[in-house]
Amino acid sequence: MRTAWPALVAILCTLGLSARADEAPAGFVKTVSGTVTVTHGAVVAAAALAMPVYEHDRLETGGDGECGITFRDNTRIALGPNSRIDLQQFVFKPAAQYYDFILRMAFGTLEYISGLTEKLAPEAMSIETPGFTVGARGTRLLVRAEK
Amino acid sequence: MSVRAMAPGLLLALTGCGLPANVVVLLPDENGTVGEAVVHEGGSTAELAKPLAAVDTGAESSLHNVFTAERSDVDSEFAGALEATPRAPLVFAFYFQTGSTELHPSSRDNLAAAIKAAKGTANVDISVVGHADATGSDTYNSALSLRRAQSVRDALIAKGVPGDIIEIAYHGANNPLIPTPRGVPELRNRRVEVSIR
Repeated sequence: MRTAWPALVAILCTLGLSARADEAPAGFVKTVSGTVTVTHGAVVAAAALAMPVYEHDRLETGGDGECGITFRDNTRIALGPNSRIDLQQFVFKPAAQYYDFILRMAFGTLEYISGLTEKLAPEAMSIETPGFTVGARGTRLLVRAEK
Repeated sequence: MSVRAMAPGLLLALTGCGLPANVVVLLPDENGTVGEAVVHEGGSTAELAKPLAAVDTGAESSLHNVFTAERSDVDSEFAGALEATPRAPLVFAFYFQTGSTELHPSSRDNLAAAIKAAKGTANVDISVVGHADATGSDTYNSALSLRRAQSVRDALIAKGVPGDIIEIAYHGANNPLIPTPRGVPELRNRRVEVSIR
């Protein structure tokens, strides 16, 4: 009986993961100029207009790079030059009332304009940097974090 | 001009009187309203609630020091991000008859406007999201809100909007526009929202 526990835990974890995973694109690239990359798993690609971005993707801009994304929940972000952001969590499943949206900013400049996640589940949305965390309530913000 | 006279200006340009290296600034929305932001650092918290309210997040004690940023500093130091702001999504609402996927007469004209916006927007993606009011069971409302969304999606496709850029979703009676007690009919909650992004 004792040996069954790890297997049960593994099964529960798998079920939990599959229930929360959001396979649809989190959003799409709406503006881009200069050097901007999107890292999806092990694949690094130059960002282009209308390119989808997914939960866990990384966005990075070079010294001449700028990029804007509109998410499926109508949240918008824009990155200035020399910036790196991970779309650490993005789950938007209103039918199941499941929301999770964490932007992790390593460095750079970010504009954030709130969308539906923040309206429907304010506690589910946050912007994290190495030094501080920001929660917004129906608003537009600028964030800068030093490298 | 003497070197002495130039020096203060030069010093100002070099050190800057601009924004801190680590900073959060609250801006008014595009429609002029101002929301709120809460910044957490270590154990401290700063609340921003006024236009251009800002906080230096670079030092332990700095969260106690909320200040008002200069618009010119914000515009120059965040120029790249502010240039890259995606356009605001256009949201069209369609209302429905009770228990039905038939559009309320007040919403019929909206369809032409949504189609025009969808076709006139470059690199567009669209979501069509169905809602129901608080009459009927959860199961019924989920199915009804999905059917409403499908009927609007089909109407868009019939008028030439490509189906592959349309995402469909439904909320059932969750997330009403106008909260009501269970069982109360409300036109504004029997809706489909189309976001053209």
